[in-house]
Amino acid sequence: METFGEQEDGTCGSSSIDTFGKVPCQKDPAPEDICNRIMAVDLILHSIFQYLKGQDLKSCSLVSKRWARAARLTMHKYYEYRVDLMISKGAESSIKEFLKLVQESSTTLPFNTFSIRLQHNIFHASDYDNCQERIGDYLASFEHWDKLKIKKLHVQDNSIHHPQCNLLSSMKVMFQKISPNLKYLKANVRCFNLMFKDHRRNLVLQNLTSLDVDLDPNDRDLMSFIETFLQGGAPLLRELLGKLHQEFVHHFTENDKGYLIKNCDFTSSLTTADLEKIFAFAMDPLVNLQRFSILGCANPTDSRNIFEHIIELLLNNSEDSLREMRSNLGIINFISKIRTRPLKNLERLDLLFGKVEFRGDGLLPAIPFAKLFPNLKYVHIFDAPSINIVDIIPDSFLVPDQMVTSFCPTVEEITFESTCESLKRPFMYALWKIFPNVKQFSYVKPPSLIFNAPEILIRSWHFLFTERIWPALETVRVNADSLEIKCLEPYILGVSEDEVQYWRSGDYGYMNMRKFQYAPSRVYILHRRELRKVIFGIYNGYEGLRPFRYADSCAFSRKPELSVVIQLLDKVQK
Amino acid sequence: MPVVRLQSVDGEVFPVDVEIARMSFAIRNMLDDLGVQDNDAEEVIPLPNVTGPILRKVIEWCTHHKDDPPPPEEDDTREKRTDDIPAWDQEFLRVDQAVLFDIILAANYLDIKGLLDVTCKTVANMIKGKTPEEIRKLFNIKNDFTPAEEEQIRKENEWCEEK
Repeated sequence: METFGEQEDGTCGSSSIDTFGKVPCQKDPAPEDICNRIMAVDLILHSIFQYLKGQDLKSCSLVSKRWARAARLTMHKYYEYRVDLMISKGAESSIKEFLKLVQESSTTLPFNTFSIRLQHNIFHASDYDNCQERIGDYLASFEHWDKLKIKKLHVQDNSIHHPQCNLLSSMKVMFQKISPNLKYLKANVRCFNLMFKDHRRNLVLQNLTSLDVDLDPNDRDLMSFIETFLQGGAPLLRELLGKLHQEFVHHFTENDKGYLIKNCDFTSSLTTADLEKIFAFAMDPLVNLQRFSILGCANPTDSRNIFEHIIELLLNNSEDSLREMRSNLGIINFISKIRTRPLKNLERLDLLFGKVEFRGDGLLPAIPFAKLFPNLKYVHIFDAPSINIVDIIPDSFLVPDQMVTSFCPTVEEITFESTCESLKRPFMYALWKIFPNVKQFSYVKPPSLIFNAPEILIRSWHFLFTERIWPALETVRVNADSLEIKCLEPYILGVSEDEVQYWRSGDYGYMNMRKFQYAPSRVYILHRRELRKVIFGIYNGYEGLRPFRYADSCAFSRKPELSVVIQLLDKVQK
Repeated sequence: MPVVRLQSVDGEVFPVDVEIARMSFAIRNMLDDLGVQDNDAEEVIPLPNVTGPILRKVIEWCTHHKDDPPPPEEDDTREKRTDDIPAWDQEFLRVDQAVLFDIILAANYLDIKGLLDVTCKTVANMIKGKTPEEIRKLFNIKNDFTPAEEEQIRKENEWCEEK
């Protein structure tokens, strides 16, 4: 029953949802049809399963192998495989069983959203010494920690340091293997101290975004370690939580040891929830903020008041210390409207041009650079407008002469980072109108990143091909079993490797390519089964590209059609 | 109104208003790719995966829904409801299971999102609250698990929790 071919015994008319294959009644379908049919059934099952939850979904996974496969994909989207490693007598067998399961099926289970929580219960177990030892053995003998891509670790047990047991050492080994993937870490003071004591100075959790530590403010040594760690060991940290949080902050304030966070980077979109978190976190620790970064599409429309308030508060609190700011054009525009006082120490501005709406009044002249940043020395511009748009728009559009009302004489150096080198010259001329004293203008090509997806389903590209991501794609290569995307400037996109794994997991969705406005410079379509014809280019009044679901040839037109150019120019002139 | 002619696998030809036919993204793309103008009434579009009776049902659905607003964008955060099937659709889908599945397949092949959604919701409602055995019985599905495989899935499910 696993393959369609086995079902295709020439009979027609069974009404099994598992086969779907009898429609229409065909004696000898072409092999290609069979492949498509199989895919269709899985897709339809997934379409059905997305309306189910919990127990219903689990029931579906037990119906047949095909259903199990489809249900697993759905479950992966809405569920996570989680285990509570409770260090107690009763937990021993479940841990053992769990690790056995993982060992057996680590290739089939979607373990990338996997969390482990170690909780305290130890003192309720009568023979906890033995129990710990055995659990320590299990953990130590387990070989797949690095494969599991564990994102959350919750360690909360004061007893892991028991001198007689090997649990602590096993956990340290485990931690070292899982730390590169860890996004969330929760630990109480003892656990934190014990687990990281030996390699404190070298501790780097490059993916950690949330740290929940119940720390002891009286342990100066530990506190200073945390401070150092926060400044360098967790570059993506966005959330700091903890029971003793107030004291924690207070401690540093009182002792004038500086503040927690020197660099505050929000590389993905700021949502209202993010803003509220920052707000809840209090602004005190940001007094020494030196670098502030908001990229992505901060959208003030849903919570304009909060947004205004927080940006203002953040800038007010750190205006003396702030030296670098990294932001998109929209936010700079926004800041220029809400700020009355200059950010007098800001020396470097990284400006993202992503998601720019082209209007007749140009892009930059509206920003009062000199007023807002009187000591600005260096400007780094990246992700300049799409090649397609610049191809058809006169240079003067970027910065129309008559619009330039504000000069910024202090800037002496500009770096221009773009996927397209031919933009260098128009940009250079345009920027000189605003920054007349620039002595050095350099162009850099942004770093590339190749994502390989081992399993690609035609309908899973929904996430890749959104307006947000499309402009920065350099190449897209679709193989029979993989999708390779060369993506420029992943940080602009707010794309992390984890998100890519998520796509990789087969996230179905209706491919909606109608919104695309830009085309990548190279596209390879090597997929034989589903794709029959690809037409890239611009049609229908610059609305987008056609779906290439059934394509087997590829044509690519980069230049917009003349009518489109005329339409666009019309818009510009208006 | 301009008309296109859709031909089912069994040779039946259905003249359909272009606007209604274009509710199918597959047909819409074919029309665009072929460069069919609105007045090319003689153009026959073969649909090798859909039978006449099913195509008739699909056209009936599209005709009834031709003035619907376009379906909302996919949104993963939105809760997927199944209790919002319009009364007309419920009545329309009160058909044999085999026909229902044929409509799903046709909706999938023709890429008619609204119809696919509503039919999938109907099937999801049929599944809700049933045990695996009841589901197999309902849809005439053979259990192809070995006892060990079934046990393995059960174990996996135990570790699975909602995000």
